[in-house]
Amino acid sequence: MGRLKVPFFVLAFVAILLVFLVEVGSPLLLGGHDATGGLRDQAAAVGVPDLPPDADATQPPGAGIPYLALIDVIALFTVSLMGLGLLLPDRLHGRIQGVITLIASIVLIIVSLILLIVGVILLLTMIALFFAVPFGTIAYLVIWGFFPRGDAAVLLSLLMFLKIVFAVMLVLAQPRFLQNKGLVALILTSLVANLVLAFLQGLVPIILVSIVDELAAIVFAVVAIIWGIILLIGSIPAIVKAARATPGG
Amino acid sequence: MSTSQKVLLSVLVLITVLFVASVATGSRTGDGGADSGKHGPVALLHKLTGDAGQVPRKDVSPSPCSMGGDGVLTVKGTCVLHVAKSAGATRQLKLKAGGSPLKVTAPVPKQDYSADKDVDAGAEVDVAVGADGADVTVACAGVQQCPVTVLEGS
Repeated sequence: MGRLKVPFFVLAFVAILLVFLVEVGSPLLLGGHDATGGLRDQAAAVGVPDLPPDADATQPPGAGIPYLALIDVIALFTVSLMGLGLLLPDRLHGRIQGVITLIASIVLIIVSLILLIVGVILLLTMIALFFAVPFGTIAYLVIWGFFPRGDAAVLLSLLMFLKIVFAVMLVLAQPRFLQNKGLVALILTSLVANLVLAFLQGLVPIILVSIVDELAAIVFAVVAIIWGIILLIGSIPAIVKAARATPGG
Repeated sequence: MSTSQKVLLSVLVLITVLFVASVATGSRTGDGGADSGKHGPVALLHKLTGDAGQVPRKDVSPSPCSMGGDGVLTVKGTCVLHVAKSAGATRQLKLKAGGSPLKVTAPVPKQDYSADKDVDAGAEVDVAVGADGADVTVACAGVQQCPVTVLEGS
């Protein structure tokens, strides 16, 4: 199997870092375009043909892609921790690994929980407004009715490509990574989440995409909480081991 | 290549193929229309979560008309229904026209403009009201006086 091939490992790290940055920065890339023409057509379809002249709509950025970062940050964290092992002496790395994982998992669980609550409230608001014809429906259409599905598909394709690059580079760096079931499961979770989001965004007409996108975001937050709990439990043996190895510990 | 590597490679290829198929077929569902949300996953979500909470009659202050105990308003020309603020999110004010048609004007939640809705005689209308409350105007269409009922959930 041999030693870790550092150039491939660095490429894997860069790929997953880009994935995380694109996901977190996606609200700046998606949405914001004028959708007023579509708003007037859809308002007429729900029985309000005469919207005020100042009524306008813009495309929403969506929540699904930014929430994917909650899952992919775990992969970034795992690879960063491996990378730290290349820079730090083994003994020190072994001692701090458990504590860093414990702190990171707690932060991940708390952030995911907050975002889960925000997502549920937003989803309930969207559904309540959409089905409150016509006044609520207009409000829904103005704020969330014109999801930039094409732009989101481009971004999801880029993310899928980067994630595959990440997986392949990781295996090229060290084929033994395939024996790490946790890492393999995490990468598969990330790829499946990407697939599910692309599937859901294409499943319904454009005016409903924001609702299913928000639903996907909620699912990703729940998945991130589960992974956070797994990390939290996994960090405990490492902390106990480090404490026992510490003189006087 | 070991068996586990072959399996993982197959899974990777399968996920990629499904992803490409999802993206390629996504644009076929169209823009949507009047019947959007009546079937499919969003309809199921709506069934699970239900409608927004209904505005109780005690939160509605009509002016200049007055409301009877059964929620019936006798509107002479126009009447403004002031809906009180609420701690929760969006609520629905349910109105039912009597024997004559109505025109309902209400602010669009989260927007700084209003919209109108013509309501046929005997028909119901749901007016979405944000947490800040709203002034909903009810006007008789074609007649001087018309009864309107503020419905309350059972």
